[in-house]
Amino acid sequence: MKTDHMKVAIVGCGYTKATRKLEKPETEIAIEACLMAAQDAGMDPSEIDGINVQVHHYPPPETQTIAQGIGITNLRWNQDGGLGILPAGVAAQAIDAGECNSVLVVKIMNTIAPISTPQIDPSTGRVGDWQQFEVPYGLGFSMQRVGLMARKYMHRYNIKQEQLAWIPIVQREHALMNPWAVMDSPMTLDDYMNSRIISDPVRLFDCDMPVNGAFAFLMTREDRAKELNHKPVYLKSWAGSEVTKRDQLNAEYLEGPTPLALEIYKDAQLGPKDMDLWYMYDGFSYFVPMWMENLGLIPRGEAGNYVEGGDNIRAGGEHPINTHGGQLSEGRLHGHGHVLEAVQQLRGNAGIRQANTANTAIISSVFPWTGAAGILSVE
Amino acid sequence: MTNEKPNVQTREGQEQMKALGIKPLPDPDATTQPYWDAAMNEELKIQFCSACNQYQHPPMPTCERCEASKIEWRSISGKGIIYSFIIDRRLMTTGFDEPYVVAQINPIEAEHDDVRITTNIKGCELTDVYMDMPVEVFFEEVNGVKLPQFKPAPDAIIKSQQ
Ligand SMILES: [Zn+2]
Repeated sequence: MKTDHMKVAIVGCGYTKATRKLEKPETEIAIEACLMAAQDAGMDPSEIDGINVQVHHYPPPETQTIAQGIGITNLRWNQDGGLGILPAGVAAQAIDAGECNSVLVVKIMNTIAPISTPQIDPSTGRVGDWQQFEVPYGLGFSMQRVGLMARKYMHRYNIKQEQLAWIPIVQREHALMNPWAVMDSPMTLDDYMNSRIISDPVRLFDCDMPVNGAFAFLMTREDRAKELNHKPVYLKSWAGSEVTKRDQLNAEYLEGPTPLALEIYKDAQLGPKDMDLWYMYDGFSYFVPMWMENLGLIPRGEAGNYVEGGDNIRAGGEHPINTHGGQLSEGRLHGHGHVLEAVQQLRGNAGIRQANTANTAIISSVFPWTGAAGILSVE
Repeated sequence: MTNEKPNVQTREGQEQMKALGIKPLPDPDATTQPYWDAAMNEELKIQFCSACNQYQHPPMPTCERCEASKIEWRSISGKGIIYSFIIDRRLMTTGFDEPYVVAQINPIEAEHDDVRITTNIKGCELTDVYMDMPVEVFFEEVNGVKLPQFKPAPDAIIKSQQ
């Protein structure tokens, strides 16, 4: 989708440090990140009139408490939830529709949440719904489904683990240049190939790193954005895929970009070749090559050759990938880290991580076969 | 001893369930019952839409492709090939002893490879399993329920037996 009446920009970024343990109450860190985003933009919090809060644990904090803590006095729009680029699109739509002028989009990560286990009745072992065809065979977790998709993908195109290993290796290089990243030691090809196999072919180093913290960005209309502290970064287009009940079992696309990709390029009036920086969702490392191909950034089956050795995808390369380290090495921010880093790069504020050419960025969020994607641009 | 239920979210709870002999089993509903009824008779039946001439699995109330509401159940041979597989090296699901194989099978009757039956692969070593391996169904009784399972077909190449 795209906004019809005006352009909407991301104008402020706020972060608490990503930490292995939750160091302060979640409401407090959410307020802290939001205030940083407002301050970064140069907007008084009292001007903000919309908020989107994303949590992944239960019970969630009170959005009202967060809004009050920020100093929002006139909350006109609130819609919580979503992951990654999609809530930015929802907020942009609300701004475009005149429901509000400036929206804070804030993600709170709290690892207190247990990983979601299959719904097995503890007394009888019975499992209902679609899980009844999987859990009795020991298939119950995302990581396992990723393993099935990853093996199929590598087999179909004759791609080797030693090639795709360069994604986590290069992202670790990027994390070492990112003060917010949790991972702070280098990774070699040997380190990767010797890392523990959990659900073969998925290794420990293919999995993202759970962290705690709060991460916010502020969005507003173009006319206001131009008066603020930084070069506005516009959300040109976005789309989410249609999720069916059989989401993990959808037929794979084997030729060209997916309908979701075609939609965002059409709405942005840009093509895959125009995308300078690639922010590919990496809850698991295997999502990165699948997203690259789904978005038409490289031809089907070419990801292994493209990433091998790392030169094409590292900062300074042809198309740097996840210049912040991604979820594998910065930490699991559910796609929020990708958006924040893309904004810093497009502003030219990424310090030692700054890419040579950074006018456009493509961002994907969540699973390559059910997720969302969007395009950011300085124009 | 308390009568508190094991917590399936914890490894401890999973061990408790294992000690009690509890294994995950299907809880059929109106849509899925015919699949499990057929399995009790050692038959593999999956849904077929005669409006668009295609199989679908797992079962749904209507055809996923053409939305036809009339959908029939057809017996299939139980022969297929491995679409993909994983080898679990760490306890993933309660009732299982790692390492174990989870595979998805494309039945030979299905035209599209999005008809995938989830199974374990038994009757060979873990390291014998390979992509596109020909397999065939058998039925395994678990706590009074028959689960369709797959094993290497006669024409499969079994490395460990060569
Ligand atoms: Zn049909």
